[in-house]
Amino acid sequence: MSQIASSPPPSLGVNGLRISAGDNVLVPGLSLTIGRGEILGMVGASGSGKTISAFSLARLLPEALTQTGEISLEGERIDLLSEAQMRKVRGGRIGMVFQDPLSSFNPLRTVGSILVESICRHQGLPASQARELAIETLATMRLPGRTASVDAYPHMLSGGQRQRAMIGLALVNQPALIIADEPTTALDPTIQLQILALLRHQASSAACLFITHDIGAASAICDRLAVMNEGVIVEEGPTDQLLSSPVHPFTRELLSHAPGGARFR
Amino acid sequence: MLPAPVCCCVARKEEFNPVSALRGLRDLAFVLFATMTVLFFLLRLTGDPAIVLAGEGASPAQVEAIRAEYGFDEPILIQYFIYAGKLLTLDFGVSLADGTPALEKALISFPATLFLAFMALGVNLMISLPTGLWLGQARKGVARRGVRGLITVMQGFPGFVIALLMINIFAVALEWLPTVGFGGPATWILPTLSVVSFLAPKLIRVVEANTYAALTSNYVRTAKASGAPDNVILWRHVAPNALLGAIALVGAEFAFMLTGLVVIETIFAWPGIGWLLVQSTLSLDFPVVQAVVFLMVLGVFATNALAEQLQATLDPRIGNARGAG
Amino acid sequence: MSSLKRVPALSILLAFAALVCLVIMVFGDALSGHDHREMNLDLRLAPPLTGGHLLGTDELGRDVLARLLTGLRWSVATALSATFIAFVIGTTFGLVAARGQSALGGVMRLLTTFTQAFPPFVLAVTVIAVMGDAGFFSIVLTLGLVTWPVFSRVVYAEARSLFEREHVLAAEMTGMPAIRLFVRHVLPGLIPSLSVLVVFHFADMIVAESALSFLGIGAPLGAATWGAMLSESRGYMLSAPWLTLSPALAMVAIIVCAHALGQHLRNANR
Repeated sequence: MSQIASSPPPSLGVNGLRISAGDNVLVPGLSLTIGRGEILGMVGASGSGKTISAFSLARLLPEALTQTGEISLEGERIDLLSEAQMRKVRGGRIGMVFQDPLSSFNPLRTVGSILVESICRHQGLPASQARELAIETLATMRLPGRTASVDAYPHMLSGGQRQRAMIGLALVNQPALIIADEPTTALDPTIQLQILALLRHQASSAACLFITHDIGAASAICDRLAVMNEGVIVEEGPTDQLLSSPVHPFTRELLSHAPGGARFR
Repeated sequence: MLPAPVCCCVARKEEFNPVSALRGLRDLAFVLFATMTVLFFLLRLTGDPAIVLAGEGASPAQVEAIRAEYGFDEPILIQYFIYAGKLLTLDFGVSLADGTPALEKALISFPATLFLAFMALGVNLMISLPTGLWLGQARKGVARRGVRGLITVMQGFPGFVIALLMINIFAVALEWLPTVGFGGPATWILPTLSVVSFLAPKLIRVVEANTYAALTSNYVRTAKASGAPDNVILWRHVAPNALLGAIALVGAEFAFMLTGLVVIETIFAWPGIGWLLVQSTLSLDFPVVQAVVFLMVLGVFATNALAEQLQATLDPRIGNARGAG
Repeated sequence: MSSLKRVPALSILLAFAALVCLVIMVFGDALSGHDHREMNLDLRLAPPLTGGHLLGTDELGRDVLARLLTGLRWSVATALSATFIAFVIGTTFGLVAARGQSALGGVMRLLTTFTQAFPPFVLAVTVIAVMGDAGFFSIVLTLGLVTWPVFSRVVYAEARSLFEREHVLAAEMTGMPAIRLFVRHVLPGLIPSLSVLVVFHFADMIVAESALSFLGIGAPLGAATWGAMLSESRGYMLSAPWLTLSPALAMVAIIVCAHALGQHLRNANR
């Protein structure tokens, strides 16, 4: 594993993460680190355990699954926090971007109100200031109009616009870690590159975990890649290295199926 | 990204739309016309009101006289056109039983049914909405299982059976409440509870299903990922969605109450429009039957229109079909 | 059918209930040891378990259990037949409308509103009166005629989507005759929701029929139907509560079983 040689702890440190559903062990033991400003791509087929690993970092697994193992956020052990303390972390220090932006927004509420809710909760700002911040954030995400977008309902926006709003929601409280679970999979290919670029650009100071089955998308913005299969990281390393000289047969398998990805570095 | 579509997307919610209102009125006119026509011919097929009016033991001559007096001796089509013409001026004629104007008779009975329907609606909402929300939050749990079982059993009881049993227990055996009639608040309890007993199970089930669907939805996952505590999730995200989906059923149940409380009203001698319908149908009092059915159709239509409008107002997805989406 | 393994108790119970029903349908009041019409004027309003009457006697000395069993035969027979008629009419109409142009869709919508607005009671009473006092047939036909839209609505909606499925389109293009198309390709897709609907409709018919006979409509005078029994019991609520409770609980039992079966089928469909 590559180490960041400076003294501040890595934004994310995972050691021995184990996820099981009853007696069935889905992820036997996962360890990784992500440094400040680094984007780690977790690539693998569906069911390889990448999504549940990602969710477990924010301790958002469904009730049927249990997780153990160390998770450190900026050096602090968040796996030891109570649920109430964890709620302060979620949305504040960890931001999440989900796959399907239409169903991920409450259809009865404006996109702006969802942002304002998160801002008020984590930054304690009064409503009017929170609204201003929401407007700013959405503008930074290149959503058109100022109040137009903030007062829009989810069904009024296009898929790409919704995903920008979701990224805005994840970033608005300046989290230390961003978890993006297949953020571009549900979008048009033409839009995907724009969203990836936005994510890369905006998430510059945070650590980012980018989950996808599309190695092309991953290679476009990730600094390092970790290839997952059946709950285990089979290979990990800098993106260039992995792409040019993959070691594990599974990695080679994945690469052989993927179209070449553009680079946004 | 194109700014133009977004700008018109975020326009004000559509105000009252005259085109769809006209369409609604056209549908209403059609249904009314069809209903009243079918009713006319159906009633004429069931029996000869002249005989009923003349009474037992009347001679054929007397029956003939009555027939001529009321115009029953005209050819049926002529009768129909006269009838249709009068309908357009809302002239339903007079009751064959006591000579009072038929429409007036029907209108006098309507409030009693409306009163019962609104009370039942209120009690139903007060019971079903919280129960459904509570049940939908968890699949397991002894208390919830017990309540669900109770609801299943309750659904097995037809409304009028519950009415009879309640009268049996509360009015006759315990003598806490009066058995029949429409008077002070004591008389409202049993009829309302009877109606609620068969409306509530369905509504509870729907709210429960909606609540569960909302809780397992992706937007609640987003809220959790933003650190929202459970009560915020429940009240700000789950409840509005769950309840919105129940509006259609509530509307349908209310419409049903306007036409279908016949048996309950009969059991409690509640002087509503259902009870009037029974009386006048069995005594072949056509004008009153016609007036009653007319009012019922209007009532059902109004209820449906209101329910739809409510949904359109509360659900931003309806009415704002324009979207860059 | 894995849900069956998980709830064997329910399935056994339902099967048992169905068996009991069948036995009663075949043997009727003979099971009670009395004829349901036999009046024993010396033993009127006898409480349950007196003089060989398991559920007592009514105001004319007739055995309550015998009348109950006869009533079950009547209720089940009328409800099944009414459901059958509604099913046939509704499904046919729904299929035809789904097959045809969208103009028929508009007609269906209006027809649905019409049926909802037209008070079923009026329709029921007038149809029965039109057919004279034919009793069984008039009730069954009435109920079927008033409730068929329940089936046509569901069939219309589902058949429309089924007709657009690939395997149906493919079969159509090979020139398969319409009837075979329906039977081989469309009907199997409809069976899951239709079976649930049939069961719930049956339960509703039990209620509807007893409501009508409670009001004195349809069933021949003096017939032993549950609705009539309930109506007659009104005068004796305090003195002879078993007269009300017997038909009430019997009705509830059948309805709850039907609902349980319907819910079971619904879960199996998921």
